Amino acid sequence: MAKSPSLAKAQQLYGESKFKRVLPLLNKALRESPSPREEVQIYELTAFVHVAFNRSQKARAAFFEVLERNPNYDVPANSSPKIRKAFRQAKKRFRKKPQRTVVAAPDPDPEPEPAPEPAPASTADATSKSDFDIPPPEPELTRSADEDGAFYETWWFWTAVGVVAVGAGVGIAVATQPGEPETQFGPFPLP
Amino acid sequence: MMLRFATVGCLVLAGCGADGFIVLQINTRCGGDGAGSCEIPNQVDEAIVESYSSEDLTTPLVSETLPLSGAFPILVSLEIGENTPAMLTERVRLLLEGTEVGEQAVEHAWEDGKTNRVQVNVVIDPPP
Repeated sequence: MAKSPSLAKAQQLYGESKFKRVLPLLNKALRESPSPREEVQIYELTAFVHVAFNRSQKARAAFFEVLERNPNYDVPANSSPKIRKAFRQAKKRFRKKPQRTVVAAPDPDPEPEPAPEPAPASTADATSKSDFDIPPPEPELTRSADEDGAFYETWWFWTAVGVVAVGAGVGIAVATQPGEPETQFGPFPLP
Repeated sequence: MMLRFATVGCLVLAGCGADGFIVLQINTRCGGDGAGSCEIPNQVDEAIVESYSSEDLTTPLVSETLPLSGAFPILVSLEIGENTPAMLTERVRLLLEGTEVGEQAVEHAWEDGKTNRVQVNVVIDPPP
């Protein structure tokens, strides 16, 4: 359990799915001289909340902070697939950018919160507020080059590959056509 | 008759551009055994090249009258078309001031997509 009262309260509210109240508490916890372990917990929870609100970039930045402090960090095994996916993407990017480039504190003045995605109807208790304890089936996230890690996972990369391949094929076909021979007369077309 | 890919339009990777060429190399020999090529324009000044289907030697597919300059051999190219017969007969007549001084015909097949070289050796003996 966290020593920081703000972190403890944030963890409690997160468990109750009261996400909107979590980030201010985490921000406060950061100012309470947290231990390194608590810092990890603060940024971990920050990332989880951003994931809940589909803020991919902020979630990634928070995961970066976690990984900066603990490169061996992994999300809890019982985490939502949505969280695990976001973490996986963040970790992939983090490996490519090992230097510290992003500092993501919890929003001191958080922007208006979009409503978290409602849990789809399932066999689980539909009235349960604990979306992350019982992960709902996850709709496919809207992917973009900015959010995804690798360039080779982007549509434009493969479009470019296709264009180059077709161009090379046409070029080879044209190049292998018999060239017009150099002669004094002709060519005269035969039927 | 060879089956062609590009019978309609141009299919990428399957036959854009020419289907191939036939290059006639016209050689001459003037002045008897061991003599060299005929001189242009003193011994030859014009060539008539006719290309026939070997199945019909009455009507040429192509007939060109070529005013000669330079020296032998003379190279003449024919562009193979969609309906070019598989066996062709090339007939070359050489003229000097409108008078035929030599003639030679050569039958040959051709390969698709290549430059097919055919030699036509015309002997003018005795020289005009």
